[in-house]
Amino acid sequence: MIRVHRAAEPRLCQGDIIRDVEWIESAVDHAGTVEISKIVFPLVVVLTQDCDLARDYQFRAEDRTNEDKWLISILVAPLYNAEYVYSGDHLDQLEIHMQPVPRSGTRGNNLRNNQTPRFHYLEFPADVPIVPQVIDFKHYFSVGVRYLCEAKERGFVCKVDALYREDVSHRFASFLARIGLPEPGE
Amino acid sequence: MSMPEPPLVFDAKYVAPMGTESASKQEPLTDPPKDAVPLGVERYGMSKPRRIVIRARVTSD
Repeated sequence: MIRVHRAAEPRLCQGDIIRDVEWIESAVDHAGTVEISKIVFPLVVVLTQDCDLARDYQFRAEDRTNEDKWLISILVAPLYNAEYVYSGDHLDQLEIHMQPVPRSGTRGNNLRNNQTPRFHYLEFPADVPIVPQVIDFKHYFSVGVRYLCEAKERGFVCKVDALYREDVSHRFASFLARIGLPEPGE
Repeated sequence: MSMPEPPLVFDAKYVAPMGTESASKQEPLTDPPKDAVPLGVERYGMSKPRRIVIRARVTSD
């Protein structure tokens, strides 16, 4: 079980959990008709390094001679309801079928013990209204800074405590830096 | 700028978990026990990601 902070800081923070974040899948112009496809994620966690977020906020707030520390976008990853991850249908509304992770047995235990590099399991304290979630590091995406600030104002849920946030950050970095070796014989 | 505290779960009447004395009396609790189940309050993260497609015709001014 992790620890979280319920009060929101004025700026975006690593570990912020925000509701209903939209990601633009495509925006196409067909002969005068614009079609925009977007995915709404019920929960996302901010992955961008906190020092970068602090500097971005500071530089945007102050009258500076340049925007050198401004970020272009913020890296986030979706949180999925653990129950749906077990059954593999957490993305079925997007017509994406995922491999089930059986709740019991080795794979389920590895998931909950954060021994599966791709996933990070989060169980929240009883006074926080979030059911157990799984971060899928493979599904990270980025959103604009201004957009996420607005999303935080209307949909901030909580912030993961520093110690647990560092665990998420470290595991995400390890996942990104992994090296896929070829199978024997390839 | 300080942001308002997000709504906490405990903003509604409670029903004690089954098997407790209060539940058998069918009375709402004034001070919720630690494992009380709130009524009518959303728990975040229960739903799935969904896709929304918007189509709009571009008109000239």
